[in-house]
Amino acid sequence: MAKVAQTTAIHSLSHGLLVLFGFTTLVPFLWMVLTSLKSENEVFQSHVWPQEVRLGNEGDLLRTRDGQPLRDAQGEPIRITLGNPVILGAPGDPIRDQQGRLIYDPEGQPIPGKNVEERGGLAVYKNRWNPVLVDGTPLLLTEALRDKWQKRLVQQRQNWRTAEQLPPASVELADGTPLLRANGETYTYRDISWDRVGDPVLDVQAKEPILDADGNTIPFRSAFPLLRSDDDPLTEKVGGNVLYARFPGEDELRIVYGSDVLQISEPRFMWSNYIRVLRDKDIKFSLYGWNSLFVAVCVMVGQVVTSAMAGFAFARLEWRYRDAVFLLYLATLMVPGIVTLLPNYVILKSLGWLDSFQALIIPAMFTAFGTFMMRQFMTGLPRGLEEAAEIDGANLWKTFWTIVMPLSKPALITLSIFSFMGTWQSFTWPLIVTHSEHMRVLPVALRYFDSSQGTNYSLLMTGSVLMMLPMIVLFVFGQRFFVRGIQLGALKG
Amino acid sequence: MKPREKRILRWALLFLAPNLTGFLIFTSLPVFFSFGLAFFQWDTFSAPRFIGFDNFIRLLTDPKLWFYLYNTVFLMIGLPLSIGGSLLLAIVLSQKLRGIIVYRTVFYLPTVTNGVALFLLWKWLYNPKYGLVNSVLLPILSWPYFSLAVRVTILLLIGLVLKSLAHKAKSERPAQVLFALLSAFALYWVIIGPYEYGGFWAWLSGRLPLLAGLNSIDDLPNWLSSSVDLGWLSWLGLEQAAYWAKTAIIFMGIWASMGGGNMILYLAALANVPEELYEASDIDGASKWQQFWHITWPMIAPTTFFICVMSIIGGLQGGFEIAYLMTNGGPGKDGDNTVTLGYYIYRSAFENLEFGYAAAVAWFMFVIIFTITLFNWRFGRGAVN
Repeated sequence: MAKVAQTTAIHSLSHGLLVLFGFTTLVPFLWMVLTSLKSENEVFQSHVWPQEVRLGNEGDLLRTRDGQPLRDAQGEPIRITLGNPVILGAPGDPIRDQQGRLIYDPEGQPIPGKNVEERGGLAVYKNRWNPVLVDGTPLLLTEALRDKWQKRLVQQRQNWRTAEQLPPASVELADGTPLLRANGETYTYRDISWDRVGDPVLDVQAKEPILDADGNTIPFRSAFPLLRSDDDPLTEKVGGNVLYARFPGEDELRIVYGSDVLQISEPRFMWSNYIRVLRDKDIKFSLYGWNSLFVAVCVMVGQVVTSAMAGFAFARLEWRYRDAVFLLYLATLMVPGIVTLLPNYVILKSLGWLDSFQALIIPAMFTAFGTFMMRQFMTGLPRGLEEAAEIDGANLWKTFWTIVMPLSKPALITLSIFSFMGTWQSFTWPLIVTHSEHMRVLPVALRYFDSSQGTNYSLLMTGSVLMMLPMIVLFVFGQRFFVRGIQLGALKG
Repeated sequence: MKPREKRILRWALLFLAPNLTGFLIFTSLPVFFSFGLAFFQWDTFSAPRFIGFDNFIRLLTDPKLWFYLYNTVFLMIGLPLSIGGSLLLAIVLSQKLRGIIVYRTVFYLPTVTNGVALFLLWKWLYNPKYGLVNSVLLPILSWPYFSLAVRVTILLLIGLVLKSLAHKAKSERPAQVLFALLSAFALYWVIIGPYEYGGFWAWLSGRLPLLAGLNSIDDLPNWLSSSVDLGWLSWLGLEQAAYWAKTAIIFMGIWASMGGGNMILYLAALANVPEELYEASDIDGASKWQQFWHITWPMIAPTTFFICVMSIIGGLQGGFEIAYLMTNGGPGKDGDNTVTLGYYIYRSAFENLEFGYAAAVAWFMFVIIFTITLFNWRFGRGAVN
């Protein structure tokens, strides 16, 4: 009896330990999924579980900065509803891009291809990351600084850190006048968040008004709408009267300039984040996803076929230099991948393959590990298969495809899974050999998504979930092959 | 050569051809190429310039290289903890409990998803203001008796390790003693880790729990970039050296690897320990603890040895992706507090465009790894059997 009681106690204790560790393992993943279901702004609030947000002042009139009610094309005043348009400046203001080119002209026709459209008679500039000041004045870098920054960028191949690395220099408007603080000092680059070359965005932390050279206040846009002021958690006023709104059918918040305080309504779980990540033309997640899938499948097929063939030669055929060649294979398993990384880069460069699918696929197709694994498995197949087949009149080629390959199915599946997952997750190699956007694979894309645009965490986590999902599905359904693969891999020691 | 042999050789070459070609071009050739590269100065744009042994001389006198080697080794401090954790989980799981498959699946998740997405997830978890880590830590660390509890726990654990050592003193199994010492050392460093130089003295000085005046989440550090408050030790001028970033990365590594491949290997090893040994020792009245040290531990020693060697080799090569994605090199004067050897190779080649020097660093790393492998071959089998 005592023995039984002791066993029960030990088992309960064990379960307790396992559940605790399992919980610790799962919590980060749970947090990732929860983040992916929040809106961009909700991420910066303290609650863990997503909450529903309701519109507080629905039905109120929306006004411009000078207090006039905004009217749509029919002359009807626009009321605050779920998703009102962004208003950049008063109606009738032209809007320019960073280079000072006119991108919206209220007198002229809408310029196609630019992210400007008219809604309710108002000019709406869709690219929220573009540093156009509210009144349409573009914010420009001085030439010298831009050059310096670009050189640095090329050298370092990384997007940016902070403006701390830059020498202090004043920020100028396109017409050359400096931006001033309320106390008359000029704004410097250190006060500005940097994104990419040519993308300065005034720091959201700057609460003080920004003045131009004549001392007039310039309303400005924040880098991203943080909704975290304590008294009114859903709105934040920056500089002048800055509000947030959302368009019908869209999930992201946009900044509204007007005099009304607008609150935003959001569903509790933002499933639309997933649709947005998959469909959004700026995010291009699906392009990168297809790239990744294509590369992973090609590498997988290549690895499995070449490894199986080589494994067959090593395991089933008796030939003179077999053991010597196999030893050579084994020896390379010891060479760290990083030693061959640089020469491989140079080889691809001299072949002119950089930034192409060949670069991503072909070097990865040949694996000593896979060969080793297939050889181990095929050695264990019953003897005499080839002889029996030979008597039936089949040559080795036919024997290999019709007899050995079907018998090796477990090993083939294991190798396929490992190969697919390895390629799907691989980051360093694609980072080095590709640079253009249309060649980008998911891991590299996620990294860029993290460092550009001031990191939209809810979308970043959505992307991460989508990237992990195939791995988890593969794992859950192919568990026994995993265990086998890990043990086969250990044999090489 | 007989005709049949010739025929077989021809077939063998046919089957081998695709793999061997790729293998020669993308693995064998690069090994030699890389060695040659180390004697040149080359930015891949202009013509390479032969500079003899200059890269290697520079290597030996490069203070950064030694700092990055130190970083690499420091980041491996979590390995004993992670391996010990794997073993513990495997032992618990091998009791034929219900739901073992569910547990195993869950534990293995971080290994399956290991990669960019996971590192970015942890970067978000470590976010100083909105991340889960600080949100969870705040209530725990605000507990008034926390500091006391930490110290008592550490002392208890060290006591436990010492006791188990005393228990085994007679048998003098070097691997075992080493492992126990490493675990104690790792535990000590992971908790005190950021006091990289202040170490034990910082602990004595009472600054360990970072707790004085913890009121809001803003008082908690940014794990990936904040420096450590060294208290009265700051006169040592170690601010540049003491950061939380390494501890954060080590912790993530332990979380990610405990339930992974090592646990699976241990599960297999435990399943191979003959049941009769336990039955016999039951009759002799051995306790579970004794059974572990006298039966289980020696029987799974080869697996432990294999896991340790592979982890060390992997650890020496690793660190680039994590540091690149999570800390972008790390805090510190030169932004390199978490730069490892692997990262240094990347930086030298693709940021500083010094391919020759990068190749030399790669060979430096290879020599270290090769030495460990040789050591493993020469002494490993003796120690295990």
